[in-house]
Amino acid sequence: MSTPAEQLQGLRLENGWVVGGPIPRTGAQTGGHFSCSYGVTNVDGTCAFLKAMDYTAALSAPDPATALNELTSAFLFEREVLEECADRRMSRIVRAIDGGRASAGGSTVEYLIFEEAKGGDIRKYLDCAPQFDLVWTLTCLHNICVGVRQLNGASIAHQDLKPSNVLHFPGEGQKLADLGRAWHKSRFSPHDALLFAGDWGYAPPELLYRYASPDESDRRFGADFYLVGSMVLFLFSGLRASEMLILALSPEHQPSAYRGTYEEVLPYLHHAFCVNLEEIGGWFPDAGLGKEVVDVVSQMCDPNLSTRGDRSHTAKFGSRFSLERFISRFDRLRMAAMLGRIRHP
Amino acid sequence: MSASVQEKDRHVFPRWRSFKATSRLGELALPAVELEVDTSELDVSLAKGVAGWKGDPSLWRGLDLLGTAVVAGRLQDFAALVAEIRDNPLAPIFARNVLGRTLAAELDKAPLSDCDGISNVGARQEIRASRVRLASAPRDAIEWTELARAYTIAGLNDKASKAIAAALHLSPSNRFVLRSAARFFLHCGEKERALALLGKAPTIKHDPWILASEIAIADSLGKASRHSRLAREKVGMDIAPSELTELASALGSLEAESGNHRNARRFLRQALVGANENSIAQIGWLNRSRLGEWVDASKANPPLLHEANAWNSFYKGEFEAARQESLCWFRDQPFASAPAALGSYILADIFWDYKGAKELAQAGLRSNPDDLTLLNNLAVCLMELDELTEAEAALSRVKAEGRGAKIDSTYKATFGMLAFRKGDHVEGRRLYLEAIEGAKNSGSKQNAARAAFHLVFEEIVAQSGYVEDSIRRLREFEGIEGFKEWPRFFERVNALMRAGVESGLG
Repeated sequence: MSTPAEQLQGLRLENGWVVGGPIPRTGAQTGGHFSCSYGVTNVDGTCAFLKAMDYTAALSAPDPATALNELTSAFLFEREVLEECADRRMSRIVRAIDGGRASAGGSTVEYLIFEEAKGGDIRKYLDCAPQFDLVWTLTCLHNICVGVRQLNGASIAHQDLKPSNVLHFPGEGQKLADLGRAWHKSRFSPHDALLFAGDWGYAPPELLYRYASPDESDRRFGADFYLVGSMVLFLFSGLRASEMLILALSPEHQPSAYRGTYEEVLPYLHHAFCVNLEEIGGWFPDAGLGKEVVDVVSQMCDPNLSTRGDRSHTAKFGSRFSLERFISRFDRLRMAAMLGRIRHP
Repeated sequence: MSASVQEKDRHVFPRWRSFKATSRLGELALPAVELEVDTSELDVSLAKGVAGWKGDPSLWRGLDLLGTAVVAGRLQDFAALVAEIRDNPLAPIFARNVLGRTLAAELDKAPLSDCDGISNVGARQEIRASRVRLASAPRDAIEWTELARAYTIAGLNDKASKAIAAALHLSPSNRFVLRSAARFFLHCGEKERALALLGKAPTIKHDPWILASEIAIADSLGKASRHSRLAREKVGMDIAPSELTELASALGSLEAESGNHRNARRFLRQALVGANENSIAQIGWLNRSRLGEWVDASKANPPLLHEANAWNSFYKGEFEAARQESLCWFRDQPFASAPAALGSYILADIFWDYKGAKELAQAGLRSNPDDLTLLNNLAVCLMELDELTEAEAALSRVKAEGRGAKIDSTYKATFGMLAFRKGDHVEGRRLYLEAIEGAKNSGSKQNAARAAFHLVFEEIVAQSGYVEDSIRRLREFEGIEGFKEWPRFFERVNALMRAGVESGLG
């Protein structure tokens, strides 16, 4: 039997939104992810994306009270963070353009409506692209850096940056979606107690080896910084940073097998990382571009959290996980690519 | 005398191989402290990836899924998808190569070969490659250790010392770094330093590999390890036998040293379970030198079992196998003097391949420039190749003073050979006869027999009137236990006689 959140199709909501067909779930319903998605259209023809909280589904969780509490907290947290993003005019964060409550199945369903990314996520764009486009790639990386910088500047760590959360808006570029797993330095979220709230398949090595830095800001912003680096690798190679690192490790040192501490395994991680950097450098026929990418990845994806960060950062100013210099760098590289000064492949 | 072979006292010192080989041998698997691991979050992530890919089995979703599979340690479940992406021309070439390699690795289950070893020439290339890597990644302790190993193989111990210091500074408690550093200090003759390093290692109380090396080094210094009680407790713990093999072997050696053979055998039998080649070589040596009743290690066949095989074959008189195994042993441990010494002896004295023996001795001398056995063997080969000046130069580096009687007799015989080759037969004969007597007096009948044979060779080559005398002297050594070179030496006598007759000089 379907839950109220699954019965919104065809409803006319406040502010003139009409709920269209459901968007099939592409992931398993787990943890705090109790939501249903729909396409919606406004009377003025605006298409958008609706995310409805599925409280009834939460009731069937093993611990319904906790699940319900978490879901409510998560919804409120996400809504507040989205409001803050909107207030701060974060141009590279997908905007929540509306929200409210609807009656369905004898119950009230809370929802948020987001601007619609007609291009889908970047994987869809890449699947349709006839060939590798260096200018597009560098533009995308620039936009990702700007998005994360905008969040980090508001003391928010995205925590779940991955290809499916980078949406492509034709004509506008890319924006970051899904702040449901974010961390806010001065707001409580139900995920605060978790070592890592994002997708563990993308988690940085220190977290894969269960190391919790005593400095929570370092842990959260360090993870975001790593995830940006991971996107750099993914867009150029189809491989993510942790994947490359693990493939360069011997089986006994891989996180799924290793039973020791992060400190103990770190020399092996560092060695594998260095071997990878050497290999990545060899990927690029354009040595200049290769050098740039290796340098970016070496700073962003360093498996050692304590040495990860902008190498030119000085203790006096800002955070070592600041993306300012990388934004300028990708901008400069994009211009160079547009002028044909760098090429790939 | 000719080339020399001496099996020295042996201890379970840590081996020093490349990081890749050490890792493949499983010697870096056990952490000092074991933690509980919960992989449920990764299972969730993978389930989401699978569901997403099933809903839209596109290329980039597939790549995304494989990323999660790798992180979750489940790539083997997605071999078909890996193959699909590897063969998809639209997939990024890097992903195709890297993921394709994982398929190749799955298929390639070939045992670790001795090819991992690097030659002196290879060492120079390794040095260059390591330095390039370190220029961009100076905090890589493993790479510093690799660089140190390459420097050691090339005989550049000062530079190796600096590289080891850098590695220890960066990773003072890492097993690979610590054991490599200890082996380096042993190579440089700094046993006390090696002992202090391991004895103070933060992980010694938890790590049986560090503990085993510390006990072996203390034993070699004639000292009792501060950790021997802990070691005895450790071998009784519920730890994988392969992680304890060197520790049990080190404790077995201690017991054998103190004459407690029953306890020694007990530990050595434990070391046999999950044994590595170092433990087997130690058991073989203890069998030959200490234990009355042998511990049967013949069924053990761990990778790179070259040292044990080389000595076993040598003592059985299976010289072709001994030759091959000693060369493999040298490739595996290119900075160690023992494999070069055994190999050069076999090549020179058994196979009369003086050029090959000379090259091997020279290769061993690069890392061990003061090794007397290697200098001796080199000098012998040079004399056989009529390079007398070079042979004299090599022998001038041999400082026999203050050495044991066995060693003295070996070098005395070699000086005798030099005298013969320079035409001073009387002096040569005197030195040989002194060497034979010296060896007999020190209880080494085999060395005496070797010297006696070589005196025969020299008398024949010199066409002296003492050939028959020297041959008669050999009767004294007939039937010496374990002297398997006898038939080959006799063949050489016959060959030299034939050559003399054919040239009309005999």
